[in-house]
Amino acid sequence: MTPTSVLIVDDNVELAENLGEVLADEGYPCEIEATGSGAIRRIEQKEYGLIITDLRMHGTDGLAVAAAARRRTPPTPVVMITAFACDPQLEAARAVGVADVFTKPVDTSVLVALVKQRISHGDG
Amino acid sequence: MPTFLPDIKAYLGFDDHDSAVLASLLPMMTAHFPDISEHFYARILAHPGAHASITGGEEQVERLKRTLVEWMESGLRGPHDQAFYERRARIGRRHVTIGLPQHYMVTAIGVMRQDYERVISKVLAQDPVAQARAMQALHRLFDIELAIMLQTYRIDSEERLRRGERLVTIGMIAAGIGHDLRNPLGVIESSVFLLRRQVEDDRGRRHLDKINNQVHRCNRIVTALLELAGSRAPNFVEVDANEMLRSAMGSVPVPDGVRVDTDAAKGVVMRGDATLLEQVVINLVTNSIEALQNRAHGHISVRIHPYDSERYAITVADDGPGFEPELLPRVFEPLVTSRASGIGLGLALVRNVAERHCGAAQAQNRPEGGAIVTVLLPSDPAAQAARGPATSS
Repeated sequence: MTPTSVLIVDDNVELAENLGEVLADEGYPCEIEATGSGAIRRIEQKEYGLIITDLRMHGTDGLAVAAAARRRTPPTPVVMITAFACDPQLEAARAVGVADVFTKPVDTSVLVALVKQRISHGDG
Repeated sequence: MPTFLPDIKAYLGFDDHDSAVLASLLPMMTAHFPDISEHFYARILAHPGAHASITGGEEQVERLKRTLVEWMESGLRGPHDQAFYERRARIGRRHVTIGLPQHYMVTAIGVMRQDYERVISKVLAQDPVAQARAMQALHRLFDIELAIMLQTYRIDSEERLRRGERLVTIGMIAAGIGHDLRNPLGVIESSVFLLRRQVEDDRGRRHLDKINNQVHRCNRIVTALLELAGSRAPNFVEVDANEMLRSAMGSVPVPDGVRVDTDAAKGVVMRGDATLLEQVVINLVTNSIEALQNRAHGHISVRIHPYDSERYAITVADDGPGFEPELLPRVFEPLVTSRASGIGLGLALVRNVAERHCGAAQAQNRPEGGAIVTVLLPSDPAAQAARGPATSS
């Protein structure tokens, strides 16, 4: 059975919490993680249906989180969120298998629709 | 305005007697002014480097000739006082605005000197002493003219440079603030999203809608700031022309008395960055609205239509005063503006977007009056990019 829980990684905790609440209302249990290193620990211990991560964070960034998600078998799909549309690191994100990239501002309803699609299809 | 007029006058030995000599020349010189003016502009038009700064065609040349006659008259009439200095200083600044290379001022004054000398030697042929005295006063006058023009030219171009540097700094600060505002705006947006599910009553929902609209508006402002501060890579997608026009016009407050018609021809295939193209329309319409300020009625027409087999055009035309002819070739440059309130970024961003789509932007004055800006864009920017970009004019 496809896991349905979502890990949301953002050093802006209020933003992550809000998104978690929205997704929980849609029936997806969410966990919030404020740091990249904490997220990697969780990913190594548990299988998530989807990981939503900010790209730029202090310390361990979203790229490392995405790489950890890819190391799982099967890889966990990742949605990357960035403030910079032409961030040079987006190339690197694609290289580690990130298919979905959102530029801030992210429209919550659009993100919800994508989460539904990704978790029900189980692809990423 | 600080003046160095007394200083140059003292240096050159120009005094009230020179002013009197020059004034006495006015009656005999007046008849020759039109010829001197003709010759002056014939020389400029024959010279590509100087000609380049005259872009308004014959009409502008005729106007400039008349202005030159007035310039010659006031130079002889005097008084050579502060008001004279300030009028001359404006000419120096004007030359910076139209981008005339500085050395043409020296050569142009040289042409004037020769023509005056030729006329003086004829009209005062019988009186060598008066002739010498007249030429002395004239040379002093021309040296003063030149010193003022060169001085104000330098001050003004330094000021423009400083403005440019200031703008880069402002751009960096704006970009920083823009990024920092994204996160709080994201929290507000998602909190509103959550609250909408809780709030049942109409009044509460109406206010949530208002918050949401304002958050979107703030996001658009942040996007515009970031857009100006740096050039992100455009995201080419299929754009629905009508949808784009509707969305753009939703962001522009149109004052009473101004009518805006929008029209997108059927079958126009637009591939481009929807946000950037919308910004082009917003900037052009905003410019037209500002040009129509202080008029009871105005009309703006926004059209999207096929241009040729590979390109389509976005045109925005208005029935305002049009562009100043002298500024026309440079309206797309940053910081070039004729408005006191503007800093001259709107059209710069239009050209920037056109070029990032491998297209071009053109500004013209319409024969029937008013301005028209045409943004030519390839139907397939990616294919155009492979062939090389078009140029803006």
